[in-house]
Amino acid sequence: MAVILHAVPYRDSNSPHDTNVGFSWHTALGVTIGAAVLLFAIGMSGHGWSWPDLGDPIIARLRLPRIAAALVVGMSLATAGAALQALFRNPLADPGLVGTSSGAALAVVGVMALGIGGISLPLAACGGGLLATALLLTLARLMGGGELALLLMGLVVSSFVGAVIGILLLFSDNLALRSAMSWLSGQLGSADAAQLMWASPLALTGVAMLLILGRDLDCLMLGEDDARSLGVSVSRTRLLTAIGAALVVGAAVSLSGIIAFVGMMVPNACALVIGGERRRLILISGFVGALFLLLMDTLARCVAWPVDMPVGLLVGFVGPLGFLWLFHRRQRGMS
Amino acid sequence: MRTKSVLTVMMLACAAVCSHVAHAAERVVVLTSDVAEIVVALGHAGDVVGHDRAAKEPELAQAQDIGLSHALSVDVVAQLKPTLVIGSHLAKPDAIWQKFNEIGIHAVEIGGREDGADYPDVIRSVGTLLGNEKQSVELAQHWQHAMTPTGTWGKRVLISYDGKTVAGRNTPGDVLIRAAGGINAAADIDGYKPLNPEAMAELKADVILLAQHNRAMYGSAEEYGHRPEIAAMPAGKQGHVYEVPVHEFFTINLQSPVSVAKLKAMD
Amino acid sequence: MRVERDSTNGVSMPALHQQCCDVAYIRNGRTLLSKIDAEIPAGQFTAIVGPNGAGKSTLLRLLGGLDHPNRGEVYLEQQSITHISAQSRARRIGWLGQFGPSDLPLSVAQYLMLGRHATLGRFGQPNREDRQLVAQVLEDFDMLAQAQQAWRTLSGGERQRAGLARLAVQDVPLWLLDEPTNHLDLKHQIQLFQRLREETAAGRTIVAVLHDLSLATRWADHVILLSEGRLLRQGPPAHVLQADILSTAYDVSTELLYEQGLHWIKPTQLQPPC
Repeated sequence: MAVILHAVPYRDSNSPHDTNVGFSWHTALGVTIGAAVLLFAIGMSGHGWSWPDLGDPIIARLRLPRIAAALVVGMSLATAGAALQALFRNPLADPGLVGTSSGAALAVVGVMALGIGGISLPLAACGGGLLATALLLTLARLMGGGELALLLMGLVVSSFVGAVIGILLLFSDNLALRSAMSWLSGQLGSADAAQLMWASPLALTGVAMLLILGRDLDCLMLGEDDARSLGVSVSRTRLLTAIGAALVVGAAVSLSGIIAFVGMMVPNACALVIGGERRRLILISGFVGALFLLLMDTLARCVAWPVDMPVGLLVGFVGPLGFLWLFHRRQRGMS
Repeated sequence: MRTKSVLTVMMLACAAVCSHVAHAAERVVVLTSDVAEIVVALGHAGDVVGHDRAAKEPELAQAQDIGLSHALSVDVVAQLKPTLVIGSHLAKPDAIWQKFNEIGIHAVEIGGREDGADYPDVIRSVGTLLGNEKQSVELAQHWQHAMTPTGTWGKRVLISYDGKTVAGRNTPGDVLIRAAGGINAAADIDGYKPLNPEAMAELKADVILLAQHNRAMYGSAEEYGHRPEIAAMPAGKQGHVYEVPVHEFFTINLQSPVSVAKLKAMD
Repeated sequence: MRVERDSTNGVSMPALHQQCCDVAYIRNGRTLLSKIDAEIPAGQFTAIVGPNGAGKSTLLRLLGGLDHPNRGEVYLEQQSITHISAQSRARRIGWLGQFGPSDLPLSVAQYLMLGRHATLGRFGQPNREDRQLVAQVLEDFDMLAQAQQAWRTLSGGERQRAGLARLAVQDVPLWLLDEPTNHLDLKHQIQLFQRLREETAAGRTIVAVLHDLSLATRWADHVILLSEGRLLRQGPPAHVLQADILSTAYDVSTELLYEQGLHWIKPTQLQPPC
């Protein structure tokens, strides 16, 4: 809801012939679609759709938190993806590039391997994610800073962490580790209201940071010198963007484990329709990402009833197909 | 007289040599702890020269630790010059059986269903391989008898690995529940599957079991019992949510009759 | 393509001049520039020329404050450029790099609006005046019809024009251009220089690194000739364009002709390739 309200005051275009009619039409459409998806999700269950009774504890305490988690995670991943694609000037950039997902995975596995009781998985995931990004930024600076250093360190960190996790799994006979991997693998069923309480402000802070940096990111895409000449501090923009992305992704990982593809695909799909102006793209991607993941999770929890399909599986299946279609449309549009 | 005593000595010597040869011929390596348990129960611990790290029976102390059963090395086992290598499907990597046969080691994978419903057959298979059929048949019969349901307990039981994944049909948990005379609340499901919490609320279980090593996933038995979908069912209302060791309720083994008894005592 | 602006609409600040005093620049142990005492006169078109590796782009970057000299100072109107904040610099100096981005998911109008980032800062939103400025510049640069077109669909010449338009939107009194003629055909080169002359007429100071000597001599008011990191000569084109100094700079014998109002440089030592 916060995302929808935030979209309202935003202008639709930068054209010299700006008209207010354009912006309110699109916003109204967005709000309507959002409301429809929300209503669909709240009423949908394995027994079909029915008008939701919000007094039912099953719906209030199971379904609503899950819906809220889907919105927060979808928004987080998509906004992080939009920002990082500008930062790395690469449409294939993914929220995992700042090391947050790797750090979260290692923290979760580590906490279980060491048997640290009392530390919950979500807390470990978020903390580990933020630590990993901090480590990444420090390493990148030691390597001289710059876009390439950031990218390389991201790859190095995620490969290394993956190997460490593999080794831990191989040589440990602690069965709990294997269960941790399933938690990590992208599911929305375990988030409760308490987790949402502290993950949401974290995510919104990150999104706010990324929105503020929107135009700096546009300038960054012109090249370092041109950006600097326009008054943009390149290193500070990189740092703040990475931190904003880490906050947002850390919050998401703590709620749902690692869901792939949303962060890469949603911003690209949105850019095909609304163009690449970064501030607007971050906002719209957040909105679309939230609704997209909500839709996917609603399907995931209903289509194989009573089995709960991990939403990551469904996203990995549906996402690329939709994206191929959009890309095809774009190619046709360009020729 | 003299001939008789010479013959006796020769026969005794022969018997001694024969039994020594028969005894020296058996060098058994057990790759997995589930099979090791049966080997020890059949009294053949003395034949074992190698066992996996998880097999902790004191009778096997004199044998060598060959490593983790899910990460085995052919060389380590071959160095022990075994005459027989046995294990279950839990032995990994899967290709290890072929490797043993390629280098001429007699290696047999003890087959068996995943849910352990044919456990008596497994006991008998091990016995046959060890050359001790009689004892294994006895043990199998004894075990089977202990696992036969007595009377109708009739409670609905839900066995969950981590609070989300439940044991449906064709799982060891299902075998145990039926042996106790109970009803598997998740009988509509095949195998281990993660359940939608809303669906879980409809299961109406009287007893819920959780694998205790997964505490980080479900909190604690008490916290789990407060979840809305659990609190709504009899198990949650009466506090019949229990944390159990994984080998007691997620595998079928020689101690399963004890597990069954424990289960019946839970409600 | 006539620019119809009065000086208030064109350049909102008095013309700037720059100065380099004993500037040296060393990177990775190599001295790229040494003992540079250069003048960038206000309101004029200065061309920086010289052979490859002479340090032209390096000097331009120092003028733009994108890098700082190891020795000496670069001044912008008596003030050392290192003492000017990035924001303040962005309101006075515009930079157009040699290579534009390979891809940019923006429309032409959005690309131009980035020029306003210097004045808007991070938190500002473009207002009506900003939009009107962009519209005006689009018209001046004959790109109004392409306002909503995707930047990536522009040709090389159009991208160059859009780049200059961006500088116009940035509304700064000093323009620094690194090899602006690189991807342009003859017609667009001439258009570029005509526009640059119009800008200087309106009061802008322009510095451009140029590869082509004859273009420099034809269009520039002031020429700075570099060779191997040293300043060989600076001044009006005729002063710099002397056979002896050019031969030293380019390591090739030349003869100079002045015909039909244009300077012509003719290499005299034509050796067959070995």
